[in-house]
Amino acid sequence: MSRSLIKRRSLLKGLGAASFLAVPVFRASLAEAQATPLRLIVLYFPGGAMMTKGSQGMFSYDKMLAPLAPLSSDILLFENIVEPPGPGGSDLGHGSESTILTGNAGPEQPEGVVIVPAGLTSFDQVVAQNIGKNTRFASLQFGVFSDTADCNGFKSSRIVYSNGASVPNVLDPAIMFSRLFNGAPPGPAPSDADALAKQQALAAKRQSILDLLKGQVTDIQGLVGSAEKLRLEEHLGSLRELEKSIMSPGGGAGGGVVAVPGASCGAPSLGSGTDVPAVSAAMNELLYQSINCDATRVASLQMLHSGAELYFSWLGLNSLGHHPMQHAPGPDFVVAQNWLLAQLAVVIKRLKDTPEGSGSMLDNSLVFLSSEMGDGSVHLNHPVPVLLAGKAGGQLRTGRTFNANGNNRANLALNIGNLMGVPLTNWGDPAWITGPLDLS
Amino acid sequence: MDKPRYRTCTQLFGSTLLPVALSLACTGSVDSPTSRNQRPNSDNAPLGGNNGSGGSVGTPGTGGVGNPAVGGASPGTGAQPSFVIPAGAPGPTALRRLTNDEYRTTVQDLLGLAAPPADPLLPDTRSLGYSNFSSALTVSAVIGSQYATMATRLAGEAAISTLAPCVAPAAEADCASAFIDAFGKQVHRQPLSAKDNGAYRALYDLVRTTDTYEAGIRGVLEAMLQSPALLYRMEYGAGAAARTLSPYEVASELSYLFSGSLPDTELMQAADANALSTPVQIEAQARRLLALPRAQANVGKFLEQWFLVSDMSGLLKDANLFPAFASAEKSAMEASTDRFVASVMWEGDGTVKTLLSAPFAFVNSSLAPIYGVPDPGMGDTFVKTDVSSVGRAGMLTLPSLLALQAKEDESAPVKRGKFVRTRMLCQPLPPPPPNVKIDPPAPDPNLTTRERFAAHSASPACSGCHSMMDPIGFGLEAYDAIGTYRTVENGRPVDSNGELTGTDVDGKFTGGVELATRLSTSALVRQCAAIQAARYTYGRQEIETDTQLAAVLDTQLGASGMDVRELLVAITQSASFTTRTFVP
Repeated sequence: MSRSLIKRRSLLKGLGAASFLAVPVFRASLAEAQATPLRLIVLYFPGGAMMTKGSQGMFSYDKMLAPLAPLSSDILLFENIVEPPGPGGSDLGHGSESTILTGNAGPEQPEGVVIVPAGLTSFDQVVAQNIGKNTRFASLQFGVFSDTADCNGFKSSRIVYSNGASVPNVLDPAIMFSRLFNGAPPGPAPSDADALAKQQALAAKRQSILDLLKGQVTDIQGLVGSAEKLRLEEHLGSLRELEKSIMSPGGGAGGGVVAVPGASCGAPSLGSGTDVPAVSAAMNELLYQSINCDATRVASLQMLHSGAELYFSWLGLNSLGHHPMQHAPGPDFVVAQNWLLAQLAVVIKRLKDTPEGSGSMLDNSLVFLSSEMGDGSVHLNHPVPVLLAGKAGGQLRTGRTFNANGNNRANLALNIGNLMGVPLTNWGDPAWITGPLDLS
Repeated sequence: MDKPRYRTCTQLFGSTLLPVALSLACTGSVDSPTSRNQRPNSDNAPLGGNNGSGGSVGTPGTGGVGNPAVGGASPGTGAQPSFVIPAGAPGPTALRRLTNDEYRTTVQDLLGLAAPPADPLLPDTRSLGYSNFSSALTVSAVIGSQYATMATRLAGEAAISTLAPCVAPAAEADCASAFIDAFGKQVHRQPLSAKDNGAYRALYDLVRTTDTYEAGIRGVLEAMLQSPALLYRMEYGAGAAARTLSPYEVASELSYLFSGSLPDTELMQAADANALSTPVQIEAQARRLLALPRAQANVGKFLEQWFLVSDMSGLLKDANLFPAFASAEKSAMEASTDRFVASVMWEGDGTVKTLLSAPFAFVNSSLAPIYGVPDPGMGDTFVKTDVSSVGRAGMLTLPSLLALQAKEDESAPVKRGKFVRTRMLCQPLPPPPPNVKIDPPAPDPNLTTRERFAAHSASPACSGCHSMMDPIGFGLEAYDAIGTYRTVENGRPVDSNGELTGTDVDGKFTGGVELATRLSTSALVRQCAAIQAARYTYGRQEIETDTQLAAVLDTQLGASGMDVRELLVAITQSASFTTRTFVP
């Protein structure tokens, strides 16, 4: 019987309070290319949000979206935007989260089987492949809770895809923490020649190892079929990311991170890590810090996966899990959805509360928030809740609703690509893509 | 992309596996059938039906199987293979990233460590319950950096004087070359190409210019421990579309199947000598590996993934109802499962039949109340106990399995019925029809779970498919949310009458023992075992050849109850074990 070799609790204990103090405050040095970089943040919650009664296709800030109401001036809320059924039965609701960022319903396949269409890439990853070169991490995937051992297939539980492979969320705050903060901190350039030479030798060795590994991956690419060739691009991406963490002497232009005195970025408290609210708070904080410190400009946060049976016991909701609750919708389900959206609202609010230039960090960001279905009680995708937050550097007019008139959510991805300066080409299911929406 | 299409139960159950015609169909928004299960029985010679290729097949059902090494004593030069398997279309070429367990064990063996290294690795994505499906495993940015961290640590701590000794008058450069040749061959699981050899040597030279011999070797180790040649197993062969795997690829395939690690010296020598091409040669190696201690853990891993009991770590139960579950009972259930599987496989006859019908279980003090037997009085120590009179028989009634196939606070007849259909009979079920409102009944203190769910099977929109699941699951109603045996629920007597339909062991039954006993004699269950073994062996969903092979193996191993060890050996005897179709 295989058990997790790493016990989260002990790992967190290992990262005790003392180690937080020792963590370097850092800020990516390569950010200098752009004074006000644009960021793309994807936020996902399962189970949908019910329409306001009587207004077909309309969402409003009462009921489930209530936690977002205070942010409405920074939000563009979509009405009547849909995801049509696909060959894989995406309007079953169950597991249709794989279509949200990919604009592709994919092939029909048995539940629980991982078959990702060759080369499939979600729009956030297309953006990351282009704008991620300038930051330590091209993108980061945050998750809060998953109870699925068997259903990590294309049809469920993952939202981010790259080169035909699902990109896993990091669900353990301790792992995300060490990823973000435990890289070799760049010290000042050593003053004595010996230390400097050692540092140079170490950098040369690490670069040489990565060159060797990249060469080997490329050699394998020459032997395998096209789908696997693309999947190996993920491996190459991982090696390129490691390359960025190699310190050149003094932590200078060679990459990585440098300290910015006074910058408000640093290690957050992780919470206990053993319960969902604590993990959510920790991931929320880590996501904020990763953006604030310019460690990445593309991030996603997936609260739960579709079909999770999680009981929201911290809210006193002990009679049904999250998914069964959708099938028996009542006041409890509204409370649960409110909690999920309140977590996501905090992400937006943190960015809004962080000054940047003449405005806020949110003004220079684009947040895409959505769910896999509309009315969870019937698992319908007509319409689905979708909103954009932030002004994308002044390009987007917020504080309004937009009637999409039954347009496909996949087309909104084209708008997002354009706003991020990365037009999407040959992306999504051709049957779904008709062109960007007119958001003027 | 027109309208959504949903399969009916009839179409699904009409697969080649199931000889029994079904008249049931899911009702609801059922559209035209897909062609999915209507592939013509392919051009190659059909494997199904009676295997004509010889009554001479030596079925080793009894005899050597208790100790596979004994059974394997005869195969050698000139011997006949134990199985004769007609050829079918081989599966696709594959690039198989090691699972986390495989990687840890491989590194342990390479470095001669006392235990597998425990550095954090992002969990393997599972597909169909298995952690080794190649389609689900990639090197993402997160795990890539974890490999790098792990490799750096291990290379820094490695015992260089053991791994790459260099004592004068030997020249350091020669020692380094010798190390790269020998250790690199283990890491790559085949002789290094000149290019790779040169790259490792250049890395050594680079480090050596500013540092010691030892540091140079550590640099090479750091690269090797995260080399894609180590992280991925290739099943590619070479040539045109129809390919034969190289002897080194076959050595790895055998080794990871039975040992979960890199090929040992003997297997590498066999690959060097090109002595892994005939069924007799492969059978001899398979039996040798099966007799090694490590096979026990690895075969156990297969069975526990098949029955979805390999990981209880994420399982939560209502702490008010089951206060001891998280602290003591869950871990005891895991250990009890391990003991049961090991007992059947390595002390018993190792058959699917026994796995499903064994009258005993391993009980300790904390599990005694769950099993409903007196405390054996040995504390945490497990005692083999006859539990046949208290409603238990084999895997299906293990508390671990029943607790996993249940809800947080109550049993789950639908889940359990679906488990039997999909995992034990290999009959896939379609998802619920679209836009059908399905309200699981809320707990009612005055009704039993079954009474509440009965209405749900009565709805015409649901009953088509639910009639395939619920009547089986109802038969397991005598086990609660953590698998405790019960005769009363909410003050009312538990009704554990159930019914099997659409199988070769149809009929009404009462309770888990009768269900398990019935399934233990089912040819469909035995064929499903063979399909599950093919999934585990190849790390992919089954193909037509596998379902045909399952029928053939049932004719050869079924009479004695389908010995799982023989089943795994038999799979290596199929031509599709050593051949692949290149997918460009």
